[in-house]
Amino acid sequence: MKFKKLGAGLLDAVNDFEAEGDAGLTPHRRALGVVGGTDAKSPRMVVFLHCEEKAKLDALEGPGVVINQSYGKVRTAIVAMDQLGELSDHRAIKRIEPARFLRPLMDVAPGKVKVPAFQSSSGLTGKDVVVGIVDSGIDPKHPDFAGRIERIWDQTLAGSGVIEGAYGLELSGALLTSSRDTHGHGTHVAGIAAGAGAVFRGIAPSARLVAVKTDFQDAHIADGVRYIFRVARDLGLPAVVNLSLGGHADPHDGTDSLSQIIDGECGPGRIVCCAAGNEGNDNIHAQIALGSPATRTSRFQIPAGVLRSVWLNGWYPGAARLEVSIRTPRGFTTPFQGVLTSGSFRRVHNLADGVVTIETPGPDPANHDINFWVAIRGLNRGAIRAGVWELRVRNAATASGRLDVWVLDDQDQPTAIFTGPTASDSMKIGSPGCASSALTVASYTTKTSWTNVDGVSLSLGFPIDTISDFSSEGPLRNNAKKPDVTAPGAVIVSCLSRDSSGDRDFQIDSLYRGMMGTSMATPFMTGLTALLLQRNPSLDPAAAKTLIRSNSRVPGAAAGAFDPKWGFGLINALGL
Amino acid sequence: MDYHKFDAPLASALEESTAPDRRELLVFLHAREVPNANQCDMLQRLGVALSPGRKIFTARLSAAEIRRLSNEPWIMMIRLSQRLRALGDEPPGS
Repeated sequence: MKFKKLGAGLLDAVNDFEAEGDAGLTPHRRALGVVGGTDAKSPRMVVFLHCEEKAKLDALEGPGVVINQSYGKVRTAIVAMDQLGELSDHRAIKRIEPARFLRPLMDVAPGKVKVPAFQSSSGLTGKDVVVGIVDSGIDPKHPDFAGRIERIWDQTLAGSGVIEGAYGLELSGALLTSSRDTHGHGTHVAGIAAGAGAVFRGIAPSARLVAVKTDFQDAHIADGVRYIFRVARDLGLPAVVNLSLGGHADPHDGTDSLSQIIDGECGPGRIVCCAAGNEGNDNIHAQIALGSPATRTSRFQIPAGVLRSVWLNGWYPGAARLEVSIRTPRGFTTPFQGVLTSGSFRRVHNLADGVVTIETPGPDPANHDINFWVAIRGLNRGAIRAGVWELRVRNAATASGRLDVWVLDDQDQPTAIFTGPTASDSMKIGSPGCASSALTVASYTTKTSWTNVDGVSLSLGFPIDTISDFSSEGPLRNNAKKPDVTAPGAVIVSCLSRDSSGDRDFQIDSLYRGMMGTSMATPFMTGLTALLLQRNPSLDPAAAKTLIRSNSRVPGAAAGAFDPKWGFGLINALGL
Repeated sequence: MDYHKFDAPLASALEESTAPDRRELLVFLHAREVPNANQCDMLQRLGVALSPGRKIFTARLSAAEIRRLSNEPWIMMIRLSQRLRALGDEPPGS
């Protein structure tokens, strides 16, 4: 026996078993994964086997050794106690760790919002409901989805597409594996909503899955929503679509094209759940009160050497008229530009600090408000000059109102931010979270510590059992109440895509990883919505929202109260 | 070309397009009403996926096609598709 390969606790258990037999395991049963066998001489232990990712361990299997996975650096197995020594001697085995009785993270989150109690009392599992995921794809080989992925429309593969769009490839059956989720986000989301794992179990573990692997262009996402609802209709099943994605190039009032399409496609038995956004800590939104003719400024910071493109997306009431100008860090300015209603509304200014394009069209036909769009690029396609830039607005009329501006850039996380008094922690829910009919979900932190695949204990410094500070605030620009509800979104353990490579610190084992975001909170509600649709296949978005709101509460507030961060509060599934 | 049917990002994309006949612009087409048969034919010739009762469509078109469509009175507006992002991370801010 290679003692050094045995993890903490396991060597003690082996020694006690060798000395006292089954009785020697008594003190270990509470903590370790000891399972009684029919052979009292050789009870079995659930263990983690650490090995090379592609190691072939078939020769080790037999009576007393059952290994559950054929790949991966960490595999689970059930091993008879008297076989552990022999197993440790094998060259392919690097380490053997005992399984421990933990409270799995996914099980922590559902319990905190009474999901297990609701599942138990209702008997609902999501059976005969389609859960649609428009995202980075899904791992079709993950055991937690076995036999339940109905279709994948992989929009990124070459092909003739589907009715909703003549691009991409529709896959089913044995061809599902032609699609790969190399990012891992979609697989994780799908697992929260509908995974059927024994340990990390989704909310609707019997739901049928239809996945759209998208390139995240909102037009393609819209096609994906239409596709999922059409497939569900063809199957004669209700459907709930999960959109754990978003952006800020829209008016933040639900009149953007994707939100309008969502509103048009939803109805009885067709519901969409959207993420609120993760910009709760980011100053991506500024507000300027428009008084009598005066010039107001809003500063935004661009860091050095990082960004090649920054955009400002500004919206204000249609009765007002603003003139817009940009000042660079070294003080160079564009002229003020008002609304241009004839010919081109686009002006390009080549300043010493960067190329600034200002667009000032007339009222938007969808909401009748005025949009201006500023694009800032570095000279010669280089990085934009770092420093404090300034948006200057001059009221050209007497109408008052409010200007809302969002700053966007070319990075995955917000990098350019507003500074100074105009930065506003509000109205950070963009499309499609601002779709009127969508159930928009904020994030709640239920767990901040875990043990990773290497046995390292890690923890994050987030306040626990409260709203996640990264969760974006509402309301919408038109003061519509969003988000709708809060659900667990940090840290959530769910399915790991075998084709993804993520931060090892967040990997639990070969099948699961932790993630956080309103992306994780949303499939919680998608799964719950699937259970509600199983109970009532004709449930429509308005009725679903009424039911969910009446079973949600902002801590410390009166029933039915709305909060810009919590929406109508944390879901309590028990009363659903 | 009716410039004022374009949103600002599309207006920029059109002006910056170097291949006006290449179908490289992903857009949303908003019709004023549900298109009639002739209008549907026009959209289908442009490769637009249609289904009954809808007024908003997605399409990949060329700058030239977009400019021509903007002249159609039954087209209310044309917007450029925007890239969204996934809202889940491992460590915050990564």
